[in-house]
Amino acid sequence: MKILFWIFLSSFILFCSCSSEPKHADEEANKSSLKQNTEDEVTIGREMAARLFARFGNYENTKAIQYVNFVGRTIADQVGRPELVYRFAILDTADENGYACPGGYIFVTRGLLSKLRTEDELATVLAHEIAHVNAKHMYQTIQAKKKITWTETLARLFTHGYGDLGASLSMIVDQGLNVLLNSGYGMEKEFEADKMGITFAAAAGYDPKALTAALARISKSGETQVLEKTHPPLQQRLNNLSRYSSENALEHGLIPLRAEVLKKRFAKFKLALDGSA
Amino acid sequence: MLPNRSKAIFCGLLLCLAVARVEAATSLWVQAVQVDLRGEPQMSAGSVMHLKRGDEVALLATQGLWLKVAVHGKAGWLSKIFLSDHPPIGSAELSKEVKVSMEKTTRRRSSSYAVSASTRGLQADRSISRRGEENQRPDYRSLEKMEKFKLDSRLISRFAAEAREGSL
Repeated sequence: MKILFWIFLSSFILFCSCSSEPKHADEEANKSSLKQNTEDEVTIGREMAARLFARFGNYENTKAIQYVNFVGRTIADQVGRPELVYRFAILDTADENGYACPGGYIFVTRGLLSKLRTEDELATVLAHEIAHVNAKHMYQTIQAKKKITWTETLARLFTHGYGDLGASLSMIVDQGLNVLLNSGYGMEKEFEADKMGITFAAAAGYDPKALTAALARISKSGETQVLEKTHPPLQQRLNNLSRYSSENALEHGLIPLRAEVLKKRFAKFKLALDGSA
Repeated sequence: MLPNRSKAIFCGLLLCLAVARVEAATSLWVQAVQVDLRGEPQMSAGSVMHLKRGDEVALLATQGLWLKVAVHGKAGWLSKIFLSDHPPIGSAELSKEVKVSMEKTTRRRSSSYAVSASTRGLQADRSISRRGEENQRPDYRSLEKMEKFKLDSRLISRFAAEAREGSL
């Protein structure tokens, strides 16, 4: 009986040792999986980005694009996913909205920019979109089917990826654009992006309360149809932001000199924006 | 037949293995460039220590968006949005093929990257272009401009420093 006990115990220990993969192997597996998922994300994201440009037009104002990228990258370099390159562009439409495509392709519209009054507001808007990318909201919604058979894989390799097998990129992109332009991510993901966004903005040195100011202004203007088509009602977002800010004591110490720098930079940006509008 | 002392050593070994496995499962890594470990689960709470990208922390407890973690012999709170279950891997190291793909012109998009992704069910965009709906046709020229727009990281650091230091 005792022999049986020791055989059982030894086998259990052996099982534990064998099933504990070496750390190096774990890291390699993680890296490989991350690489694959990132490739998929970027493939989907850039196709969606190309379709957004086609739909709305590219607002080619170098000074304005440069400023939006400076603010966006200030946040993304601090809190963005290190495996991605974050890019920011302006869509040439009077609609007031922002869009985040998987893989780090982020857009704000000319209409939304015209409503913003400070660099902090722009930062919190961009941080909201960065949060969608970081949390993989779109990618989770439209994730490509995972189980591909060996024959399908080989067929795609032989046809350099142009075989008509399996889920096609065009279908996934259609689905993604429908989420961006019509159905939205849903309340839960939008509230999460609001919370993450203002936390990211605060971590990068911006005033987290600026998102509330920007949304309140849009709400007051009454021009809420476009934004509320794909986002929760503005009043609900404002209530949630207020609760989250006080629960987490999200504060920001505005020093006069900093405020002055941001004011001057934003004034130059507005001039560039209005000058070519 | 083994004596009692051997049994104790055996059991101790078993316990160590079990603990090691649990510990490995609760490791998290800082993804933000730098972030403060806080004394309380609040952004305004005092900093226990500065953490940088790549630091490994052990999860102790969860409270909403906040995680209590242990690192370098100290315990504190971090928002989970700054952490991930894998070590940070830079875009350059992770995906050279992605970079190659980004640099190519839109007419030469059959890069190894696109092929690699296509083997997982992400068929390249030829079918999109075939759809024929003008308003749905992708604008790759603008995409290319977006991807080619580069900002030197030193200029971004200077941009951030201007605001921190309050001088242009």
